[in-house]
Amino acid sequence: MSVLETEVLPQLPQGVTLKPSDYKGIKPVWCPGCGDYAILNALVQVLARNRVDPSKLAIVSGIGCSGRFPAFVKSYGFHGVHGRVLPVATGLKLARPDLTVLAVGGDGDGLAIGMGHLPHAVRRNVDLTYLLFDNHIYGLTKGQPSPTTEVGHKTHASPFGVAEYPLNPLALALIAGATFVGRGFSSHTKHLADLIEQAIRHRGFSFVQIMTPCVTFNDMYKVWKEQAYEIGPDHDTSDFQAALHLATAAEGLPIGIFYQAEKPTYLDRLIAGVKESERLKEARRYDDEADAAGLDKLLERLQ
Amino acid sequence: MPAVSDAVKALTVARRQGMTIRVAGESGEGVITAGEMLTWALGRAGLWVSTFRTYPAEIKGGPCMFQVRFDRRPLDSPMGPADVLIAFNDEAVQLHQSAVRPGGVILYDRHADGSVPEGLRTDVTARSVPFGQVAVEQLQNRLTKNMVALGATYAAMDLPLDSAKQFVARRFAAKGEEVVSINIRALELGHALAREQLAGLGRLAELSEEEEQAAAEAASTGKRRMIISGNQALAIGAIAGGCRYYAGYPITPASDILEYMAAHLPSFGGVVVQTEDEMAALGSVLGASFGGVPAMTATSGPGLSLMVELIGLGVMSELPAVIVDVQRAGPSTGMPTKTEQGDLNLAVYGGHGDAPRVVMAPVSVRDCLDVGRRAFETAEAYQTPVIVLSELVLAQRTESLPVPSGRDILKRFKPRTTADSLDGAVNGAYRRYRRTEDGISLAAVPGNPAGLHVITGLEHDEYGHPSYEPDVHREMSLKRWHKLERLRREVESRPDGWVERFGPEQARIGLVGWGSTFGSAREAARMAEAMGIPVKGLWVKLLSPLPVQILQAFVDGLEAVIVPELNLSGQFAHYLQARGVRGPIVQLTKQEGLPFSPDEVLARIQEVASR
Repeated sequence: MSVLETEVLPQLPQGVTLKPSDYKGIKPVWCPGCGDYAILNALVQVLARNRVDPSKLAIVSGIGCSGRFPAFVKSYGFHGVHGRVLPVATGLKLARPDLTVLAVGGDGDGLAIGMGHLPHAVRRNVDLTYLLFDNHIYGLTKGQPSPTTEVGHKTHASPFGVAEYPLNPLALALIAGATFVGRGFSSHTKHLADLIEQAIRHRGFSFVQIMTPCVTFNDMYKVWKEQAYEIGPDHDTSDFQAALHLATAAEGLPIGIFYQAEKPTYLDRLIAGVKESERLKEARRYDDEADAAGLDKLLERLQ
Repeated sequence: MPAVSDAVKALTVARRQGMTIRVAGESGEGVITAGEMLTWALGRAGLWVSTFRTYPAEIKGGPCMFQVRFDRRPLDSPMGPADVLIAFNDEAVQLHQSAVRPGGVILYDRHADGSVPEGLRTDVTARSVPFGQVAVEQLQNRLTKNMVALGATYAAMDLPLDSAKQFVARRFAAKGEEVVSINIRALELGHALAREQLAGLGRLAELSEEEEQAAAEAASTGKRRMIISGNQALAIGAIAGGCRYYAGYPITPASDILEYMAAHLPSFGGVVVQTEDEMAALGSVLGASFGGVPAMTATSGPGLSLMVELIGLGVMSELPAVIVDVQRAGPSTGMPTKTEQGDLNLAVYGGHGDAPRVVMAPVSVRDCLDVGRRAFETAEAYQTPVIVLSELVLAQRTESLPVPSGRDILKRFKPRTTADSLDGAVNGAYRRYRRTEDGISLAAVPGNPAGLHVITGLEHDEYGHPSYEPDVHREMSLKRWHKLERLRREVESRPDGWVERFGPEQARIGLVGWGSTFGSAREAARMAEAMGIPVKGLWVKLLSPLPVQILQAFVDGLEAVIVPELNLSGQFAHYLQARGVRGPIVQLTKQEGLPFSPDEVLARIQEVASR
């Protein structure tokens, strides 16, 4: 298979189908009522209706409540360390372009310790999908403020109220140059499933912020339910300025696709730039004849 | 092109005992280019070459030096007194004249008023040549000073200028005909200028007619040599070993590996990424490795510090990965352009929890080729990160080596497991971390329908499910240790390629070490033997797990075991003792940012022998 022609969603063999529940792995351990259950349900629906081959799907995560996600999906999974989800996902996708790679992480994982990796993963435009589970709090470490927690919010770690202003993840992804930027909300599960599907189908780096309330430490259900609205058809998703405006100036909580653009991916550019790129294109990594000849060529240059 | 044999004849006349030439000047004056040209010309003529360089951390300015040692027999080290010093300015004379052997030659840039550099030694043959004046007045290009100086050097040593011209044509081809021709004219002017007054200064001894003939034949009958640096050798070894993903962050002195891989790995179907930092580099290497693609990163000390978190993840998740640490001097950012063996503790112990990992160390440039390949073989076979401890002096030193064939060095790991061989893997029954006697489990990679699993940095059961049960943690910790135990036993039963030995078996004084100190130590042992002090040596290339039995067998019965290492605290000497190697250990440490000279090792041998 050519790298350039990689299937976006590798499918099960003809005639084989799986139900959404067949895609579920071990039983989740999130708090009852956690928004993450809805994200899991949205994803398994997407997988079932696209007949995705679980053996060609790999989910990479960091640390936190979202970090456990791979274990709850029947696929290949990599539960790594705090904040490094994007580098791991990048390496996996570049080495194995035939796989569908999903990166999942939380606001603490991806916007605090992992923040340095976000703009660089974005600007490489590797063909992977990053789902940022945003609950505006550190859940697994029991309620400390995260980079998206509102100013003034009181926690045990911020007894006088959070003194920092929150980050805007959508604006960050847009400014860094992401080719797909969207926002979903766990309470709008059907909308979320459609959004995730489009993000996966997008060729290039897809950034999806998913609002997912933490019922234990920061219950935003009521507020977000009131604020959330679907972006209307009059929004031009190819208009960067409009997307930035929507991400920064809009009232309430718009959900849907903010921005989408087609751009060559990291591998596209690498293949285009390498004279002898045939082997890269074909992803034919081992060939004794060719490798021995290639090594001879390297050694020849040293004489 | 002139006949190769003519060039060789001219070169080998008077080169009987080998020579060392040191070029010194200000960074930006072309010292390195001049040194590389000498290296290439000598290597091409069939001589064995070994080089050493020092340069400032700044891009422009500051003193730098390039030393070329060559001989008709293989060399252990580039270190030793210089026979010829070419000094581009007075500061270079002052800094480097002490490195010239008594009776050696110093060529320095002539002063306009005819005076001599302050404090010039009198026990050497010092001659002034107007390098700078010729470059400015006759060529209108002060940048050609190094070529004028080199031309003069070739005259002093009776070297054929053609080889230098060939190098210039090749090196500057991309810069255009004009640059090539002005540099060639500079060489010719320097050569003509010095021919009459300097010819033969660099001569050491005449060869017999027989020897001349043998040398000429050796060089012309296909015994080809290449000039290769340690970093290049590691990169080529890695590609031969199956590396198809490389990620790295620029850092001196490891950046050459990133640059080399970026230029060459894609034509082997591999992908290279310059990441935003070292955590991202190793993180992406682990991601690629999870995908079944052998992957590598290279860094230096400060970068290895940052990677420690991901090394733990690699150990816990049992992913193969190769991490090259080209050591430089000092903690923190230390001395980026100076050498040291200071990262042993970090490589072996660095990280939280018990995280057993493999640590290897090449002993020479030639060895880098093999260790690069072997690191992949070991990482894949044992499903664990492998740290390769190289050093600045190995990484940037060039040596002439016989050219292997691509097919000879191509040796790849066995691919990770396919569906048919997965043990009992039906309907999610696959156990990624199945406990086995030696700790090694069958590893499936994505794409294999029978092997679905999730790996995690959390402690986990055989399926990879997180588990904090006391039994699970104990058993899984043992599993990870057992892999290293198996490697240790294998190496102890078949040490070929994992250790280097030298010296007579019956010697009562031993040298034990690792890494780049090998060359100086072996040479010191030869010198000691010539003085009637038999010394034997053992250099281990596997530092973790340490082949303790091999070391103990070597040490047993010795009256003294000298452990030379380039750090102040004696990290290796302590490590030997911590692993239970018992014997009369004598430390020899050095922390100057420079390698040992054979003389320094010899001095300690003599001291021990006279007790």
